[in-house]
Amino acid sequence: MKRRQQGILTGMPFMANLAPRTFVDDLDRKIYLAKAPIRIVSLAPSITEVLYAIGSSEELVGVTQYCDYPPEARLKPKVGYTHPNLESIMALQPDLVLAPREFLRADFLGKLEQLKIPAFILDAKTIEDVLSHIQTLGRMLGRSASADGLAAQMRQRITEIKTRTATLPHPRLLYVLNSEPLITVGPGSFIHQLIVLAGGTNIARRARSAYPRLNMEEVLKEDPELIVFPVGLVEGIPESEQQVWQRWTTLSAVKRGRFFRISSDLVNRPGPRIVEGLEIFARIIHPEAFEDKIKP
Amino acid sequence: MTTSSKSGTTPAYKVTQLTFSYRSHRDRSRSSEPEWSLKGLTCDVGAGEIFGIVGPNGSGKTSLLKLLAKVLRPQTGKVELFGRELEGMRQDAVARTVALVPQDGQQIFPFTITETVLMGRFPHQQRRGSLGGFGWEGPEDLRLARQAMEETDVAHLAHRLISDVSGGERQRAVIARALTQQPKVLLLDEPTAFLDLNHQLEICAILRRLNEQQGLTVVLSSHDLNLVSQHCDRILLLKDGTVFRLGTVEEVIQPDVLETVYRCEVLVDRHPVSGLPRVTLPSRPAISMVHRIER
Amino acid sequence: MGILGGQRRFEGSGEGALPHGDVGTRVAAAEGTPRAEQSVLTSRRWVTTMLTLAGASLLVMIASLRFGTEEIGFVDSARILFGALRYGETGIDSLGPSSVILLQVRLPRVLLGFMVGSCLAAVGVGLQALLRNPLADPYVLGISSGAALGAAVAMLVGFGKTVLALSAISFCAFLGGLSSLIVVYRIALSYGHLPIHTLLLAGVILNAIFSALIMFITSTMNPNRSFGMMSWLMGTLAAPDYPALIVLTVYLFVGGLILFMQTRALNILTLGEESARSLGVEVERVKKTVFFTSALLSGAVVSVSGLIGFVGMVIPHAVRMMIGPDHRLLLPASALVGGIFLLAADTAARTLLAPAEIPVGVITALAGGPFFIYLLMSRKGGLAR
Repeated sequence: MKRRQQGILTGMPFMANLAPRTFVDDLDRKIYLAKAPIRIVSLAPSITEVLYAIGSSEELVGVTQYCDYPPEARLKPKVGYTHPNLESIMALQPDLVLAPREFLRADFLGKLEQLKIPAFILDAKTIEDVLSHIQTLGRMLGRSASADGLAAQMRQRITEIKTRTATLPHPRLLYVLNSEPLITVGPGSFIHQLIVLAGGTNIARRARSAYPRLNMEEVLKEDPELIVFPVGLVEGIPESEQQVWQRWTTLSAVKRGRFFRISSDLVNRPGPRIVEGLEIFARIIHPEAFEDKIKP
Repeated sequence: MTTSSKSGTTPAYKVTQLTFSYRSHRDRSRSSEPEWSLKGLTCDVGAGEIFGIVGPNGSGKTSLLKLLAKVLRPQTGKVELFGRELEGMRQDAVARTVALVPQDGQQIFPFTITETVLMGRFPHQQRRGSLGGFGWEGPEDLRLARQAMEETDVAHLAHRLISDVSGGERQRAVIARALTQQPKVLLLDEPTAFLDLNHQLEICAILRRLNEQQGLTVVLSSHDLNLVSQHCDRILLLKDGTVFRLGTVEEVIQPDVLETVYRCEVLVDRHPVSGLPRVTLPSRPAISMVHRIER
Repeated sequence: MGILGGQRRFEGSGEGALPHGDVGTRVAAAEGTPRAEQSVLTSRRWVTTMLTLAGASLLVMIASLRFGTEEIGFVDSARILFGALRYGETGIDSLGPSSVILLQVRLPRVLLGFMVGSCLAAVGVGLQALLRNPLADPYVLGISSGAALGAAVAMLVGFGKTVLALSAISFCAFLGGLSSLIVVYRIALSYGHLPIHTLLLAGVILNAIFSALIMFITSTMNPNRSFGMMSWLMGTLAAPDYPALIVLTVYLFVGGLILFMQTRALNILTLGEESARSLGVEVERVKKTVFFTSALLSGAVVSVSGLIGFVGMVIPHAVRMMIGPDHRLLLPASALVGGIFLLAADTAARTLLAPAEIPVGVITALAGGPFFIYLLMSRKGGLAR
């Protein structure tokens, strides 16, 4: 939810005074909640993490099959992710469905509206968006105190990183989202922002899309000093990938053996742990500035 | 009924107990008896003979010709080509001896008449065996093709696409192709079906000439009983995949024989010039008597 | 299109007879005449055409080396190449950055692109002849979707070992292609014969089944990772290392040679199987050879580069329109034209939106499609003209 729009509710200027119970989501849809919802369905792992973090786990009645953090979330009933099962959702009788904008099927929202199930869409494009989502959800669910506290904590950690890395040089970093073909992250993607915030230079910063396929020539030209691989459920990939990258002996990263792994959950999910992802990036990029922190 | 040909020389074909059916995937269940196109057929074709095959539709004429060219393989029975068993012969060896002119072909690729006729040289080029079948047409090949095209009057169409000419012209081109194979036996399936009268005469003249001058054995199937009567030494009359009658023109072209096989009334008289039997269908009033002849 | 020595194919207009001449005579096509005397394929025309195309291939390759994230001029390229050949300096350490880019990224990719395009076009020619179907392409037999499925499974499972200089994904893709080949063959084989309509059907069905399985994998995979998989399937030409490139070259060349040896028989096969048999062609042997070779070639190509469409179906048509249906020339000529085409498309794919890349299959379709429509319309229609 965009802060600046709080007072600009179309056709209802007087609502600015009643703002607390009416919320506008990232698709500019208005939703009115008479009281805090007590049966919530989350359609994204990031949203689930936020709910747990602000203390609303009791009200959470439905999650996706990828909601694995915290581990207790796995015990909640599943309703699907990119293709959510409408019947399962209805069976849970939610009074609020929280859904992400990306990966969601286009007609799904229409169906929810048809069934008169209140839905709130979250579309985090920046880290700031994540923080404001946390606070909005806090207000929606009557957990403003813990939400605001969490957001403040996160802000503080981010600021710390910015301060420590402000004066340092920005080493060049290649994030290998996929090897065959080589796909990396560009401006507009979350991870790119993390890299920049953590004080690094993304070698694909001049790309025009968020997930560009990169030509190897460009990599050779840019000469990254660090190469980062995401690690998810499948742990094995980076080992053999490092093998493949050994071929390019002119790269600084290869010469100095600076290959790193980062848990993809920490950088893909626009939720509370994004700060952990950021911190890991910071440690990778500027180890000397973060020696006092515990290494993963 | 004469079953054997001129005595002494090796017959061009000796067919023994030939049985054939077009297998379809339905037959895999083996629950039903397949439909036999030929059942236990035995006959022979003399070297240098002009041999006709006649019979109603479905009697097995085309199947027999294809079996003689080794285009199809029989279920049981034996075919011997100049004393050699067809089964053991390589395809190209057969093709150097036997040429088949099929009823109709479909060509979707843009080959010219010349290229199509030259395809007849393939079995000979195989034997020269350059790189297992790769190579170019030599001057001899071109000369033979040219000659064949002139014989069948398609030389003026040399550079036309085979898909671009009339049915008759295509048929003549295919005959030229067969001639280019320099066969000892020429098999023709309804060769005059699409031809105008003048070309029908021409083809028959070519066949007779090659038969007389080079001893080319000709086996042709036809619906045109008169064509067969005029030009063939012996005729095989097929009915339901078996030999109904095999013999000289006089022996086969007889009204009761034809009526039994074709199940209609026919008139047989004599050709005014050649004296050979001539078949005519009855005029209108007699047709109503068809119903009498039921088998 | 008055190239290749003025030999063109035109629709016969049906009036009058051509002057009698020696069948082997060549008459240059006068501009605008609707009918040009067409000669039978001679070794001379073969050599001329192939040399011309080989020259064009070389030119396109040299030109492609120039373009990329940085332009490397011809003089510099030549210097780097000769230096590498003379001093054997293909090891990365000893060269400057441009040299590395040229020798380790661009040159292998150019060679790979050419070979993949060549192979796809050659297989297209073979299959169009085998199946007597102008719509045939290398993917029609279902082998390629088997390979794609193998790759998808490898990506799903995260299988990471490199095998025999092939990446894990390529290796699994190749296994998938092989399995598919065996299945299609077993389905289609009937009493020792390989009926082409059954073959076609089996291929179509297998394509449908495997595509469905790939879609299933996509839908159940974590969406963050399925993007990578879809990208692979869209076709990708990444710079291989030289050992892999050599293995691939030998493999594709041997396969291509086997196909080439069948070309005369393929000409005859276009008459139909029965006529071909009557002309001495061992039809079943030729069909099986072409089938297996085409399947193994297309399986290998998909394993290495994903699904690059359009080349295998359209290049044979375009080349056939220009130089005729004789497969002895059509096959090798299509191979060279296919190589040139894909190479040009890949060069565009990696330079148009640099530093990002467009999937090369997008360029082949968008560039080739309209061009082919133009060819069709200027010839007033399809195959037999």
